[in-house]
Amino acid sequence: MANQIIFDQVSYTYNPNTPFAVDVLNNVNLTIPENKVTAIIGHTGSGKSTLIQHLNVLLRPTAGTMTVAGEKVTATSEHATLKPLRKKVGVVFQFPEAQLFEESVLKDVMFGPLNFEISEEEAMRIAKEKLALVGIPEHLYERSPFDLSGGQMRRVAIAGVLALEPEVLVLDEPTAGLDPLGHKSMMEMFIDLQQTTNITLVLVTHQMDDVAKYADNVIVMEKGTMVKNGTPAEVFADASWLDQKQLSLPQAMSFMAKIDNQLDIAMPPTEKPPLTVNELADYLLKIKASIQVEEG
Amino acid sequence: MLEKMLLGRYIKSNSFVHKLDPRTKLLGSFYFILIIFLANNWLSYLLLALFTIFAIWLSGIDIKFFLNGVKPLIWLILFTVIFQVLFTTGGTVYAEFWVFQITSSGLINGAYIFARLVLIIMMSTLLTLTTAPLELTDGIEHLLRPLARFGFPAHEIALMLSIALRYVPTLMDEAQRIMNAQRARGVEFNQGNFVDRMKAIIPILVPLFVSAFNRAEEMATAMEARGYRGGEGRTKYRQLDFDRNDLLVFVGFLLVTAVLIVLRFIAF
Repeated sequence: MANQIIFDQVSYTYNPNTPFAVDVLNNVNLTIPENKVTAIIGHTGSGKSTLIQHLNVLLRPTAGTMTVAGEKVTATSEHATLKPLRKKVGVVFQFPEAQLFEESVLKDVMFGPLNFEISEEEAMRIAKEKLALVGIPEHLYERSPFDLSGGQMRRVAIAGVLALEPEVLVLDEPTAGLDPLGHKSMMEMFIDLQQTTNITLVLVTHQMDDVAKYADNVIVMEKGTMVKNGTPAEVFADASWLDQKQLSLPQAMSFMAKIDNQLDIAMPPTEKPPLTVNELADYLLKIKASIQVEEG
Repeated sequence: MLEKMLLGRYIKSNSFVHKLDPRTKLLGSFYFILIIFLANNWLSYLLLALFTIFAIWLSGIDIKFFLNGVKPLIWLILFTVIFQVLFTTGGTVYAEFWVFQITSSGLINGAYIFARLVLIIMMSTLLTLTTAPLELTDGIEHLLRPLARFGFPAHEIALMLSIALRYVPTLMDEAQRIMNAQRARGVEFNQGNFVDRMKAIIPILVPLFVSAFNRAEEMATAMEARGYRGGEGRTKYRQLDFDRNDLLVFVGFLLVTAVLIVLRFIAF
């Protein structure tokens, strides 16, 4: 398994060498594996935003080395050599609809590819493909992006990043402010995209259910450092530790914990505690079946 | 970079100047600009310079902040001075070429203009360094209030000023966020020729305007929802009070004015 992105003792300081210097990342060592879904979780102000701005080298580390798609990046890396990396790592920032500016939906999606010297026809082909992927119907292509609904604007903005055809797609709370149905369909679109094109997906989120459901690998950030890295099962194994980091359990697991603590019913142990609602349902069905067997 | 220009200019402290009523400081700064035109000889400029230095000393703020205030305007000042030197006639002629003459009175006038502009900028810098933006708008509102009787929208203008000041950091953050998003889509802001750089601004300006208008609308709704209905009958949380120190400042200004008049008409 290749590592797509490696942080080696990366630190980042805002306003270095001034009285206003703030350490935002502090000696971060982490790897983001290729072709997997990695979730980054952490309390507000834990350095997540700064971390993702490093992923597509909008920021360079003030100390340490990071390797992005085989390219080494340090504090002294030339800006010109970094631009190609931005095509390889696409970032959908929080509330991405704020990036829309062109006169038509199609032009806005073509903007990214055109910046990377892709021909007009090719950019148009990619743009149409990505708009179809995010579910924007063809009759909206020539409309102004500002005439669309909030949810449609979000989709167009996401198509604008997908149009870069990145190898790594970074999503910073992509569904914030969407209704539950919109949330579900958008997350499924991303996961589907990840599975069909085999890209690396990085998901920054506060929704532990999404982490449990979709992530292969979880990175927990606190005060500018990585405090835990593992599978969702490993990270969610210690509820009191999570609580201490101001993070919560996924719904299914907190349901289990409540039954354990409040109803004082010892649940039969399993080697793999249920992380998602579906797994919980299966687990409960299994218990029910075993009870019926005993009674019968 | 923008932060250094616009914000962080107010330096919190508890000095004599900081504690003055903002109205005193506003009127004082304007009055200073008026009386500086009374000065017409070295002695009067020396007096005004000493007065400025004394005011700066009272504020307890490092002189280098004031010099930084002059720095961005130095080219404008030098341009004005050169203009003055080249086009003033009279006195001894030192050099002459084409239509220009460098004369003794030209040089003296140039020096006066230089002193005048630097002193005015330093005094205005003193005002912004020692007065919090909200205090400033409060002061402006109070000073404009008598005009309200003639239908002048004093409260509205003060409100506009405070809202504008309040949203400078917010919009700055917003601009930074939009820049990041566009850079992620391959825009380079520091590369290419002038035209390329200008073009790169459009993807920032359009979303920034859209978001500013959205914010304005939300703000208007929020204000109405909280029962805002203009300045009439509105009381203030921050009360301005004019005390002994403010009186002292005005007496100081009057003394300086008197001396300036004496220096202008009696001396020389």
